[in-house]
Amino acid sequence: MSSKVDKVERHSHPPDPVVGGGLSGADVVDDISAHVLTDRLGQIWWVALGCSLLLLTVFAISVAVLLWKGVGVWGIHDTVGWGLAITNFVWWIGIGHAGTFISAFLLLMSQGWRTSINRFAEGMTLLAVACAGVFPLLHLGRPWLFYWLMPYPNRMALWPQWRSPLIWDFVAVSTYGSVSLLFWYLGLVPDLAAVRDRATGRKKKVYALLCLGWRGSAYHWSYHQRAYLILAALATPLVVSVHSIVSLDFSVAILPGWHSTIFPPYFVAGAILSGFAMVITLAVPLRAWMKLENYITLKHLENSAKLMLITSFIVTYGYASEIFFGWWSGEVFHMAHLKHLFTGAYSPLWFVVLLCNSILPQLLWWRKFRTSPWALFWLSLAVNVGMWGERYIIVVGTLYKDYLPSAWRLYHATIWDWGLFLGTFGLFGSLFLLFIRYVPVISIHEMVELIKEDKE
Amino acid sequence: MPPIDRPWENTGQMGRRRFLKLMSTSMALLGLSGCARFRPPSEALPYVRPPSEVMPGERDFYATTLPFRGYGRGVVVECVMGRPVKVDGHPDHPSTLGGSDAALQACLLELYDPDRSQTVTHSGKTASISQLEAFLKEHRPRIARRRGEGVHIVSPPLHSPSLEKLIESTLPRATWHRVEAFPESPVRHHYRLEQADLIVTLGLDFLGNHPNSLRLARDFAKRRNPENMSQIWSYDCQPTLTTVAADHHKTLTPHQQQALLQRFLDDEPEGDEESRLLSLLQQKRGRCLVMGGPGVNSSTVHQLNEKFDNLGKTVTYSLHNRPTTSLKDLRVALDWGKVEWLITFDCDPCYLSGDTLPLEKAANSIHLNHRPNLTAGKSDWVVPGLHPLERWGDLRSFDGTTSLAQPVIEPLAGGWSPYKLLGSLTGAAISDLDYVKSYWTNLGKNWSQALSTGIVAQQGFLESAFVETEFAQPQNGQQLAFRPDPYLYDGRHTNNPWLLELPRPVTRLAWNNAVIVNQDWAEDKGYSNGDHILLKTQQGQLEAPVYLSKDQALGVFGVSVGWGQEQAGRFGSGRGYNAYPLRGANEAYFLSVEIEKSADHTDLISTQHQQKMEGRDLVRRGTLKQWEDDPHLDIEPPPQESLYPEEQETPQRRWGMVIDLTKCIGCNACTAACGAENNLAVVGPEQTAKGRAMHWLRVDHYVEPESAFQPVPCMHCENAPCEQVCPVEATLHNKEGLNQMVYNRCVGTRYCLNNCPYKVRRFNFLDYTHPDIDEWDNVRNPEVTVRSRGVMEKCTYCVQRIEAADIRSRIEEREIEDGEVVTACQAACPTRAIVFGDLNDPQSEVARQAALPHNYGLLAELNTRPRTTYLARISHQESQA
Repeated sequence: MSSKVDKVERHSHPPDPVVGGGLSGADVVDDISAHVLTDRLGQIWWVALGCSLLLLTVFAISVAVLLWKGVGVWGIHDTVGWGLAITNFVWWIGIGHAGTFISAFLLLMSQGWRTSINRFAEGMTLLAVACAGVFPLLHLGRPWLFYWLMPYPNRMALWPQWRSPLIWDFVAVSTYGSVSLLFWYLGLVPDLAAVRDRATGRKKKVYALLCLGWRGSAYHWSYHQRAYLILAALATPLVVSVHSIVSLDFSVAILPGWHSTIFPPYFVAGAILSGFAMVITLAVPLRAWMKLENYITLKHLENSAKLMLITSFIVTYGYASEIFFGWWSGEVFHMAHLKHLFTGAYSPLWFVVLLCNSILPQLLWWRKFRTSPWALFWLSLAVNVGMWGERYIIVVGTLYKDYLPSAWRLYHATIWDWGLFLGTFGLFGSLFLLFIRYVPVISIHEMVELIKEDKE
Repeated sequence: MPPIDRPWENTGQMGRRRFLKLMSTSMALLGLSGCARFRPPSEALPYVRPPSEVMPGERDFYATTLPFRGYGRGVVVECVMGRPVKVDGHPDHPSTLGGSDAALQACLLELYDPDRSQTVTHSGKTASISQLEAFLKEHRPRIARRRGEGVHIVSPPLHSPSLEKLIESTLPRATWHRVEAFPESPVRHHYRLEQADLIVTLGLDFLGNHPNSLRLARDFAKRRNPENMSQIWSYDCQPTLTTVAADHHKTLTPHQQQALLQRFLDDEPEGDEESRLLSLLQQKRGRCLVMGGPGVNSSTVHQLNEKFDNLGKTVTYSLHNRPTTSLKDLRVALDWGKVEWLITFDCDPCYLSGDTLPLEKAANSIHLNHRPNLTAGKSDWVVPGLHPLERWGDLRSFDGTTSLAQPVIEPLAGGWSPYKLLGSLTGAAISDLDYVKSYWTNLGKNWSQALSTGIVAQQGFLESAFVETEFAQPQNGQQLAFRPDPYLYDGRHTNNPWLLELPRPVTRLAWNNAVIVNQDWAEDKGYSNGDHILLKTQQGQLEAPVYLSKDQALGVFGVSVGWGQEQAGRFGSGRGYNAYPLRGANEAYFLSVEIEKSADHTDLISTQHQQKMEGRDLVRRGTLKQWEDDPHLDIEPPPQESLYPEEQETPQRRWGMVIDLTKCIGCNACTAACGAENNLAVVGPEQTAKGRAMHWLRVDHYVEPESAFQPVPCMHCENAPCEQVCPVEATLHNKEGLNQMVYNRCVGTRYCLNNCPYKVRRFNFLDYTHPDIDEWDNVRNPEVTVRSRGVMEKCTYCVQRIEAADIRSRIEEREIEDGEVVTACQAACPTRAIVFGDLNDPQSEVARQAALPHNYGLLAELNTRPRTTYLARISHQESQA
């Protein structure tokens, strides 16, 4: 694989190594297993977990209040029927794109550098999808009936209504979620076995159960590789399809601001942009904290930054084309939508969106910027904010002023809207902290493979 | 407070023996609870069907008469299993001709008001009805001997022949105060709008604020079709239903209105417009009409009508035999200590006079009312009264027609009628029915007929010549303009949440009121909606939020009364500001005022935040001239393409609706009727402020480019955007093209709401069913599901009425006739602006109107193919040449 890795390195400057520190394969196995088996993370981990659990409590309370009283505790009303919940859903789902993109898409593209970041990116993806999935379920007026969106045989012979994008969405997101889970777990099996081999006592039993009897035989490896590739091939189109379909939730509707054919590619690009932004947001502190600089090198950060730059361009093109076609249509409703975008109640947020998603990423033209982890960290935070704002503008900024001016009305999120949003950070944070503590956060077997190939 | 018929509830300790006694009695009497409480008394006669046993599920209709500003309005009450569930205008009664207004539609909620007064109290303490009877019996000889001297009766003006006779015969020397917040002029003006080609109104809102407004609205509408159209010129100091409906409107202060009248009288018009109007008036001699409101001298108006030869043609007069008396007289009488007995019923004089009546100076005071109020709190004795729907009686309507009132239900909270109270003062009272019957002995065998049709005699009031009355010209400075709330009137309906939540036609405010101020003035002073101002009159001062309107005259500040009561009940208490203290015991319509700025702000609760049309072609309009040149105006048929295949089967029926914007006066009776028919939930002020009011049909009011109303129900689109996006197919077409909502199937994604370009869908964000108010179970229509939390709902075209007609027609093996299915909004509309029926039937009225060239679909360019369409608003305005 190394030759292919070298092929893509056409820089004039010496390439950053994919693995640093001259580590050997055994070093890698020991090092990463030790992360799982010994408490290297120290007190900070407990403090972080405590904070996350606090937010998780906020989540629990927000959900309880919501279920007890109804979606009326939120700020939505009969003009803006979707508010923060759907904004958050689209945002989280977007973040959940990077993992599979890195693991599956880059695997198929034989981008060896992906190896060291794919595990935690996949973990991030899974958790982000879980956080995303909370919202469409809870935003239902009667969430206990969510299963009516599934086609299942029933006495009333009722089927979902297939013209509705919500059904496609339901199918797309649940497929994506399950494929991502399988892909993540499949990649994890040999590593869990490696941990099992080094663990003692009760831990050994647990990891033994989890690794499904992996013995590392040649047959195992051969089947594993094939299955992993097949799943990657399955997962890759999902990267494109999920956010395309999420975008159809909007573009199938007839509202000016939603009804637009540019939406699918523009949403996918936005998803990858926000996904890589989140990878950087997590990777930079993580590599410093867990001393993973040898695995997550500047090269990874730089490549992620390049992808951000590309997708930022596509997203900006999406903005431009929406504005252009709105203007080009000359239609009163679309023109009014553009006017509200730039001068309406939510226009300050729109300018923040432009700043964060289109203007600030231009800093990535400088290699120096691309290779300064903490500069990237702050930029990625800005992009995360910008992408959230973009979804808010799309959801609320369209609904609050549509066809009949008599129905126009502003939207104000309530404390329970924000509570649930904050709460999902608690959910994400708690699970992510457990993940980095108890699961090999770098793919051991792929790293070993990479090192071996490098040495050959 | 224990109810009147449960006197044991407040009689001290509940011991073991007492508990057992009560329990055993209760068990023994349990079987009786199934007996006739919810049914009209046996003497009451149904309107349509002969007296019979109540059939489960069947509906009975009773004609009766409800009081409105002293006059009777004939109504038909629909009862299911003996409980009234719907009230509509009486189609044969000249006061309504079947139309309604919002207060009429909502009156049932006052019958079932959980806060109705239910207890006899004496000096604020619970008493029993027998204590009151004993008390009256003790004093009866003295009152009878003095023939009522020292007795002061306070009531609203009431044109009830039998009650008048009762007072005359038993209490001839009593003083009868007929108090009214907005008294009529002593000369009653009868307008004949069908006869008038040209109507000029100076400050009279005859469509919205007149004792005979329902009838006037109908007569107005008869001449609002382009084939034979009258023209309306309106001059007013504030926006009203009439100013919006008028062909020409100009904002003038009362002072300017009077000056204009004088100029017309002197043939000295100023400017082109006035000259044009004057020459039109001269052209239309005998076929025009000048109307005057409270700001102009009725004598001048009379002279103008005389000048243009309209007397006896478009306007006649009659005189009140008992004109309204002033609150000031009542206060003087009380101040002098002349009042031995103060009997108040059906009114709240303390509230109307801004709490300036010294009630404690009356030796004895008795208050009779079905609702708690300020006067009740200050009276010695308070007796629960009967709701008008629980009473026997008779009333004359504005044109003089007398009709009978009969109870449609046994009294829910017990209570007395005015007959009973007044009769008890001088002798043992006989029953109300006997009183009324004894007055109408001449009916003889026709009694049953009169009772079941509701109408006794079509005889009108005696015509009279004009009589000049005193008139105080409003001054030319800053003025307060008092007016009744469009729904609460003088405050008598303040605890009615249907009315509180119904947005005011012009301002779209609900659950609160505001001072309407001139927009330019306000912007100049830096006010925006909801900022407070301080109003100071000689009587008092008040801080209240402002509402900006470009149609409000500069220097005139419009305040609406009826709000800010403290004793109204759980819904109305403390809502809005109370403007009565600004004028005290004084019925002035206008009062000089000083304005000061205040730093406070209230967020006004409104159901429509944007009243500009933003350059969109929503309310299409054309002048009569344009219509004559080309009746299509500029309406082009919308595109018909669709990606989905056409429906192959042609359905038997295609239900559709046409709303005539030329006729609609924006009164919101349709919205109120829809609420009563379809069990629309009351969501309360907080939820209304959040934009979650449940009205399936709303009447949008736009002020730009021109003031106009537009009722917006569900369009029942043939290409419904809502249906395509519902993931569970909870909203779909039935075979007759109705866009239906299946509540049971709805999971509440609200996607349909987002995708509805008309935004007519309403979501149950919370549980809005009020399970804690048992009384409201009675008002619900059993044919309509009460919606639970988390489901979407919307206008159904009153599908329950369609189904009922369908069942009826199939039993009788015939087709549904045109006009057999009447939606609730259509039935209530006082101007008959709404037509409903089968578009596939070429003979139907709705098909005829749908085919008219100036018919258009709202946002039809979106290819939604709406079934509800509009007739463009044709006005008489000539193009600005």
